[in-house]
Amino acid sequence: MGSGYAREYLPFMPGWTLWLLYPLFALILAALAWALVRRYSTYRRRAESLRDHLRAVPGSPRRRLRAALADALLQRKVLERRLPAVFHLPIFYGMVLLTIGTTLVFLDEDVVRHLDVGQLMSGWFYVVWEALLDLAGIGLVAGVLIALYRRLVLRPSFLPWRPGTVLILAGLLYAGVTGFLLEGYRIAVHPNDWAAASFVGYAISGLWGGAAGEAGGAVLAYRLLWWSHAAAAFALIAALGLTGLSHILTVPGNVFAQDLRRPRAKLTTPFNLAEVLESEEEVELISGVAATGDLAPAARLGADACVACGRCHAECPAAAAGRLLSPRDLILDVQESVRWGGPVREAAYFEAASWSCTNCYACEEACPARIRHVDYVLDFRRALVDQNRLDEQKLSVLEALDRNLNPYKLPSHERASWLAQVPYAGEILVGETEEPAEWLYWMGCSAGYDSRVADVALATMRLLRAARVSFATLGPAEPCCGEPAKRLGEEGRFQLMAAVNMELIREAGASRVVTHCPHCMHILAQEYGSLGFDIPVLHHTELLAELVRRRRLPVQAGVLDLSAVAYHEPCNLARAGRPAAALEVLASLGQTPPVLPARSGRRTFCCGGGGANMWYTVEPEEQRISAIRLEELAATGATTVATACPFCLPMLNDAAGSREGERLAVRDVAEILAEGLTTDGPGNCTRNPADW
Amino acid sequence: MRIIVCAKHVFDSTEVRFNEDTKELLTVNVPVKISDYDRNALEAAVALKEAGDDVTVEVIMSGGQAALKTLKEAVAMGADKGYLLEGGWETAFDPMLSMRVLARAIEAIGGADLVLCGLVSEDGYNGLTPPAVAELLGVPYLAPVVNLSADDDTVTATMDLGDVLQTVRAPFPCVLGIDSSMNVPRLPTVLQVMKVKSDRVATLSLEDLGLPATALATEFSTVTLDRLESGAAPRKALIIEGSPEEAVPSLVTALEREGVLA
Amino acid sequence: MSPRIVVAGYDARGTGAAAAVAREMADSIGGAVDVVVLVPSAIPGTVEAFVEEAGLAGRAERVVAYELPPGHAYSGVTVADALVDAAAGNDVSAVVLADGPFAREAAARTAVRLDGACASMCSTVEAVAGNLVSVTRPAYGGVALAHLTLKASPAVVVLAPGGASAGTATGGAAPAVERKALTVSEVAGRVTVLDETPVVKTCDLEHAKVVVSVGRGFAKPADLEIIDDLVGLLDAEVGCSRPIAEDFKWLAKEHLVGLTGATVTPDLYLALGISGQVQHLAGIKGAKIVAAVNSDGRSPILKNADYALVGDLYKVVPALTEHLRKRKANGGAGG
Repeated sequence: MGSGYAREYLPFMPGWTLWLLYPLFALILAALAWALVRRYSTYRRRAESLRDHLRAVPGSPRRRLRAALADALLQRKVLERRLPAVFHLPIFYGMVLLTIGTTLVFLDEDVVRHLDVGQLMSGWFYVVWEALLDLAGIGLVAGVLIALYRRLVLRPSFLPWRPGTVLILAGLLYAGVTGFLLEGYRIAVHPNDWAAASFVGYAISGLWGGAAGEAGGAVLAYRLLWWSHAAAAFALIAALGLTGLSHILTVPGNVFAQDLRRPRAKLTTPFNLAEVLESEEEVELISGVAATGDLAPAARLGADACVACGRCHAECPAAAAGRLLSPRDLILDVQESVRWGGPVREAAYFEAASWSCTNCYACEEACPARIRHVDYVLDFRRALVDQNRLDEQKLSVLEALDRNLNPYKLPSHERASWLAQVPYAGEILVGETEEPAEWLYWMGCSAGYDSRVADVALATMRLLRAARVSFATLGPAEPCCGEPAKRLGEEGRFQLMAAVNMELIREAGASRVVTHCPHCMHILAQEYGSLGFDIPVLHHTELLAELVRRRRLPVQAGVLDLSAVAYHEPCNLARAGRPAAALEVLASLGQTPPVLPARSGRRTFCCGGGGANMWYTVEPEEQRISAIRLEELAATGATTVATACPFCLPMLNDAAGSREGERLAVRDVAEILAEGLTTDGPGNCTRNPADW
Repeated sequence: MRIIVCAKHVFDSTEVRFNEDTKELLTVNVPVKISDYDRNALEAAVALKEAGDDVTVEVIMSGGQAALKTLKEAVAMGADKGYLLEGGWETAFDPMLSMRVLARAIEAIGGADLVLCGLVSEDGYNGLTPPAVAELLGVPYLAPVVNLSADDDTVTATMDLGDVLQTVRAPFPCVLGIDSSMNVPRLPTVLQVMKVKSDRVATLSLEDLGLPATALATEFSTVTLDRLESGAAPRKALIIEGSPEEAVPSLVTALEREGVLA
Repeated sequence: MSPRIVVAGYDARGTGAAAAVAREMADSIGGAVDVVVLVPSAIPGTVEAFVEEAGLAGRAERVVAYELPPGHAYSGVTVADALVDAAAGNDVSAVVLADGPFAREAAARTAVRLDGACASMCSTVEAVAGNLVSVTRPAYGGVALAHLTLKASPAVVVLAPGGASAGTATGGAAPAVERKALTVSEVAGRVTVLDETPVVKTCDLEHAKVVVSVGRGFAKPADLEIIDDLVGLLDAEVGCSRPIAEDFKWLAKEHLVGLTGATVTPDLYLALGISGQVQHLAGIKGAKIVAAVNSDGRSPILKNADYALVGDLYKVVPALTEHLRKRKANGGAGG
């Protein structure tokens, strides 16, 4: 045995088959090439091509390529959902193997054979390969059947009706099934010792039985089947350039085209105001995306990569609340206008959709194509700002940032007025301490004006003092970090605020910044960072976790009953790549870890306050996002909700007040931790921050 | 159609405080801006420009060199040109003085078919300067305007007189006082303000207007500010104790004393 | 010739209030008060009835009723024409106008024509030596109160909206009524009235004198009925906090007061069952007096109200309604 095993090439087919097949194949390849070139040509904004973009993307191309291939070959994002993993994996690997198999056969017969160096498809390798290909075929057929069942019978609500996708699945199914039928026919007519290796074909050969033969009607049927198999394969190849099947290329392409080091919470920076002001030349500044023509090449590729899997829609809090936003439809609308030209859907929809977004990144986390939806939303917002199409609510927020340096529209001189009552205020105000403190405690506007959040600041300061951390705060002199301007799409205003604030923070002389606000944290760390700010910024839970680890805090560990405490993960922590510190702090206190709602960690669900939503109302809306979230938290049976964000806190607190039944307490992790203090630090003359 | 908008450069009224010790208004570090109602007037003017052909909008801004950025903001809202009035004479309390400067400035730049003003200013809240300008120019004054349209030589305006909405028509020229409820003024973005070129901004000196600063300080001045006192008391935060039967009469008595019960 | 104070108002109430202020000024300088009235358009009945209704007896020496020529209406120009005519030939030290439609235009035009000084929103007006008038009026939206001297004469003053406090009519001699045809300036004829539509406002929080606002202290939408009578008695507009408009949708959004809703400046803001979140407080900064009823003794509204009643609003509201009803039945302030 061994050397006798060889592949039979084009049995039962007339000699001219190849003379027709290759020209047809060349035609199909030409069609594919044309379609791909045409598609690539849509990845262009005026003079700017995708290549220009690729040249400018930071990060080594090799690393980006590795990331793209890893996503594709390891199906990393696909595996995050159970059912898609079950069908997409066998379809993908099946097709990969079958494509390689078919290519090898043609190489073998029409290239290698003529070189007179023997054959690839022979011997043990061939036998094992045959078995593997049959396995691949089974995977393909089974996977396609599951996918069709899901699409046609289960029909999950987040999955849009896409006839093209069904056709492609049908084509794959047809190619798979006919492949097996052809193999079975061959084995039925030309049985051999190793035929059993092609276990599916071998089984099918029995079905053909006497119907198969070397001549007559049977061969004609075989030949028709063979050509239809080839046609299906060719159609699929052409589809690669024309339909959603192109995701095989566009998804890895989209990963490759991205700056992979850009953290999720880093929003785009369309221009650098300081550089523009210094530059002698006239610079045309682009403000957002008002029409298809304004879409950058990378944004076009990104939208084109969308496969309409609907995961983003299923995760989106705005969609769940009945707002006029589906991240899926938003991207698909952009995709359609990129592919086929024409304007993106009517402007009113885009306006409503853009303002409905809470920038919670749930869509981005879910997206298997790693599309960055929030970038699109922000660019739409920027265009609306540029066209002066903001309503009074949003305008007045921007005005308040100018006038009052806070989005609460309250006088700047009323900021953090409660600090005057704090006995040690003189020791912690920047400018009043003898030496600059090690840490600058950035409180954020909410602590300045919302008495509930002021309690969080008091608890945080109490903890820092108990741990003898050297810190100072700007107190009443602290301005808004500019997040509302950034998220509303008024980039220029944001950068003006950033320039002032960076100077202010530098002058304070601290070597690190701590803040209890994840929004402030990202603005300082990421956005100021991209404008030249390099002082590290930590979330208070991160600093507190470190203090707990080093046993710097006089708290009794492991005594708290956390079975009734549910932790609400802020989107801007776990999903934005700053996970777990708050949980670590809580866990250190408890006998048991706190309970978690169904959606937690990176898949946490928004409180409704992000993306500047805190400052305006969204219509239409069937349900408040905070109410949806609070129900999930209440379903854990907890009586207290712990969180770590001054936006989540009032949003959930509000929802708790509006909810029937016993009211859930909503508290910051720092407040819970401060309660466990056994002794206070120097000068803490009172135990209860609420008494101040 | 030629529209002139009169705009005032003011300290932000939500940030200005009264200093009990010095008996002065605290304006250090207080942001400056276009007086709120004047932004409504600008918006109304720009809306007319957008609705019609061959409409020009020009802005006259008080406040001197300190108001240059404010003027650029005003121009960025959609005006064709801005005029910066030489400073030093500005007043929150002397509308007769403001009127004289503005009327001269309007004449100096060639007059207008429509002069649009905010109904009142953010600092003084007088509502007297625009009608005084109208009187000096000898033209009708329409206010508070809540709706506005214009054709080649007439203006049609709806005025909110409280219990009645009166729609009137008047030929050019005309002065209008725009009510804040008429529109939501657009907010020019920082980029849009940056893009306002210097050639769209001119300066008007008091000498050019024939109103030397000394004359404004003496013969044209009609009001003196004697002193200021605090305008607002903080909330009293008085808790009225007792059962509803006891507390309600106390509350009503207190409200009567405050003069807030009709 | 004794100095004169000339008075004008849009209606009887305003005219009476302005005349009362003018009377005090006149008395302090030994002068007389002339009231200007435009007929027929501004006065529904006879001039005598108007004099009676405005309580001008004892307040004014003379009432000049100007007959408007056909086709002319009460306007800033016509009132100014009347005031200037009444002032002509007299030693006028001040012109006092009640605030209202056209008042400021009339004042400004009069001041320009008489080469005087002008001020509006005056809460006090005093005649001082040397034909000067001193007034107090707000600066920067009420941050400060400015004491001004109007040094150009005559001083044309517009009283604060709602009127400077007018003493009760003391009675006395009825003024002499004089009738005159008004010579109207050319500029008045340029304005053509096309349409007049009475205003029906369902909710006008911004201009309301009294706002009764409801919050989460109410348990269900039907309970809001208990404020109906109170709202009627106070002639108030109904406001609400965010949960009522946005979470529960018991009231339309036009009733929402606060950061995302209306900013109100009433004389009285009555907060019922409102906890006083900062977003809400931002909308009521301009209220003259804030009164609150809340069952939670720790809610922030208590610190941010002038008068607060800690108690069950289901008991307090009916008690308050009943008390105000009795007060009204007894004829206002005396009750």
